[in-house]
Amino acid sequence: MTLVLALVALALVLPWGAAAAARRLAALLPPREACAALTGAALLLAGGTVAALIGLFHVPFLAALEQVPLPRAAAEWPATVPVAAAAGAALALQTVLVVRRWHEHRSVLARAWSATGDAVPDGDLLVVPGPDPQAFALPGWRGRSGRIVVTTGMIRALDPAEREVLFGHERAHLAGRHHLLSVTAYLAAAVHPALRSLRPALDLHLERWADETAASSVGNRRLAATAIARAALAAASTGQPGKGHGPLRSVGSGPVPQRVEALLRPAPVRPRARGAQAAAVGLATAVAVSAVLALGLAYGLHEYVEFTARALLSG
Amino acid sequence: MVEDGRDARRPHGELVADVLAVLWAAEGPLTPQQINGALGRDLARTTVTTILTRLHEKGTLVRTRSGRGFAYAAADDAAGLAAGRMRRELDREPQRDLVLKRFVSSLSGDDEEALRRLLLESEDGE
Repeated sequence: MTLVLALVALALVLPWGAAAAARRLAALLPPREACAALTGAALLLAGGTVAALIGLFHVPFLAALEQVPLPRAAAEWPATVPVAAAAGAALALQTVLVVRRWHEHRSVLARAWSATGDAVPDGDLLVVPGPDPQAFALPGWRGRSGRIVVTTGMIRALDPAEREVLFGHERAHLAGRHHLLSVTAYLAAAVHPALRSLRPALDLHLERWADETAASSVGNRRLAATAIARAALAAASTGQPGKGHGPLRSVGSGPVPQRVEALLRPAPVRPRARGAQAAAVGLATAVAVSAVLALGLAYGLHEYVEFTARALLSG
Repeated sequence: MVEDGRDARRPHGELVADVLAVLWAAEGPLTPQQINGALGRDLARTTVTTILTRLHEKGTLVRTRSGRGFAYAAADDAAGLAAGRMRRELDREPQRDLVLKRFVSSLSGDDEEALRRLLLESEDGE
C-alpha cells in the first residue's frame, strides 16, 4: 500500500515538468493559441493535482466503506492515515486560497468600477485627467460593458494613429475577456505552486494577442510597435523610479521590449516546419499526459483500495 | 455619405472615443472641421456634428461660439473628481494587474535602453 500511495503522490510532482513544457509550447505558438495552451494547461494540471489529492485523502474513508474499520486499516497500512491527513490539509488550504483569490478578483473589479463613480463614459472610452500616461482596459461588470480608461497624459503622448493602436489593443483585451484567462491562471496557481510560473508567461502572451489584434486593425505592424514603445517610454519618464508598479525586473528583456521586438518581426504563424510541429505536438502531449496520469493514478488507487480491502476481509 | 468602408463599419462608440481623444489632445477648442481634419478620415460632417452635439448635451464637452458655428473643448470638472478617486483606489491596489490590463507595464532601466534602440532601428528601416 505504501508503494501505491507513493506512486500516486508522485503525480503531484508532474506539474513542475508539465508547466515548463507548457511554457515552451506557448513560445512555439502564435499568441492566441499560446494563451489557450497556457490556460488549458493550468486548468488540466490543477484538475490532476486535485484528483490525486482527493485520491490520497479518501483511502481511509473508502476502507471504512468496505467494512475495514479505521484502526485495522491503520494497522495494516500504516501510511494511509498520515498521507490522508496531509492530502486533506492540502485540499483545505487550496479551497481557502481559491475562494480568497476569487473574492480578491471580484473586489478589485468592484472597487475599480465604484471608483469610476458617476463619470459618464463616452462610447467605450473613459478619459481621466492627469499628466502621467496610463491606459488600461476595465472589464465589463454587472451588465456594464467594458471600458478603456486612459489619462489625458497618455492621449497627448501619442499621435492619432498611435492612439488607434492603443484603443485597438485595449478593445482586444475587452472583447477577448482576457482578464478571465488571467484569473484562471491565478486560481490554478493556488492549487499547485508549479503553476505559478504560467502566470507571467500567460500575461505576456495576452499582451501579445492584444498587440497583434491592434496591429491588424490599423494594418501596420511597425506603427503598432512604435505606439507601444512611445507609450512605455512616456510612462517611464514620468513615473517615480523605485515606486514602479508590478514586479520590478532588472534584466533588459522585460515584457514591453519583447512585445515591440515581436511586432517588428513578421506576423506570427502556427509552426510550419516539421520539427517545430513535432515539438509542439510532443509538448502538448506531455502536458496532457501528466494531467491524465494524475487522474488515472487517483482512479487506480480507488480500485486498488477496494480490491485490497476485500482481500483483507476474506483473508 | 463620404465615409469610407472601414469607418462605416466601425461601431459608433469607437468613433466617439476617437473624437474625444482628439479634443483631449488639443490645446484649445476645436471646430467640427478641425476635428474632422485631425481624425484624418473623410467622415460626413453631420456624423461629427451629431457626436459633438450629443457629448455637449451630456456635459462631456463645453462649446463656444466660433464664427457661424461652435468650437468644442473637453470639460474636465466632473471627470476630474472621479479621476482622483480612481487613481487613489488603483494606486494602492496590489492585485490590480489581475483585472486591469494595462497598455504598457513598467520598464527597468535596461528595458528603456532596449526600447530606444528598437525605435531607432525601426526608424532606420523605414
